[in-house]
Amino acid sequence: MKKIKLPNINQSEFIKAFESFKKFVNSDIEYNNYLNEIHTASKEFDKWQLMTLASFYGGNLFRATNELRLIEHQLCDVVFEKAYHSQSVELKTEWNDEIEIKPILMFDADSFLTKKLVNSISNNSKKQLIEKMPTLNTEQSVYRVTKEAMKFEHFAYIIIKSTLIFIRDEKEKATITNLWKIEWNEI
Amino acid sequence: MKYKFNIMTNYPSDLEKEMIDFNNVNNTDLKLIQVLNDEVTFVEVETSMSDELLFKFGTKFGYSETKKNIEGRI
Repeated sequence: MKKIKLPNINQSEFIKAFESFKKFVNSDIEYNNYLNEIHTASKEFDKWQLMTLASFYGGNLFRATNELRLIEHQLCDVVFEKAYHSQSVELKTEWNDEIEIKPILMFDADSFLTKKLVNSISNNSKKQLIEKMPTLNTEQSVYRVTKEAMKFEHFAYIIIKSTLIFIRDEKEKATITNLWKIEWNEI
Repeated sequence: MKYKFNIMTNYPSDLEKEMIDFNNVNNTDLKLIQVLNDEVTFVEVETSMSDELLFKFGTKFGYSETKKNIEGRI
């Protein structure tokens, strides 16, 4: 058995990360919240698993201390084929001329991640979303933050190089509809 | 003993820089071996550093990676 002491962690953020990690991968890593340590019954920690758990925790720390703010908006109408062999899509914006979207990412996005955006975005920015994108169910869904959102057309979002990208996800294709320049601010 | 494992990232060059910075501060030997450009980008890395330091690096990596790239479906 191997163990690691975690004396300086934010315990509540770590516990959330650990729960996500255990749903994500079948691992024998266990957490003792009294001793604040993780241990594995194996002779060694699986390095990929350890790295993954730590990065989940790091991601939670970021979201707990930073807020996303929308700066500029740009409409977009770029369609790509939704297939595993599809080429990457190159996007140009007024603030960034080198954004690459890999269509494969569309297959990896999960619905439960919705809260990651909703919980990250500032209240003023939520209002901006509604003002600029009033006709799309997506943005209303972001605002309402309910499971009802799942009943609507599927939309995805992704942030690449300080640009929040909204994508309408249809059966065989996907359309990039709206781009937002963003900033992260410490709360 | 050296360990090899893969990390998924869309920003291999940023990761390499982060590894170099971490090595300089912590006197470790994280090394990017190769970028495995499949359907998504994986990089193969190698290190002999302790599990405690690997956890520390993973935390920093998750923090900076989230800043660059969160994704989801609604």
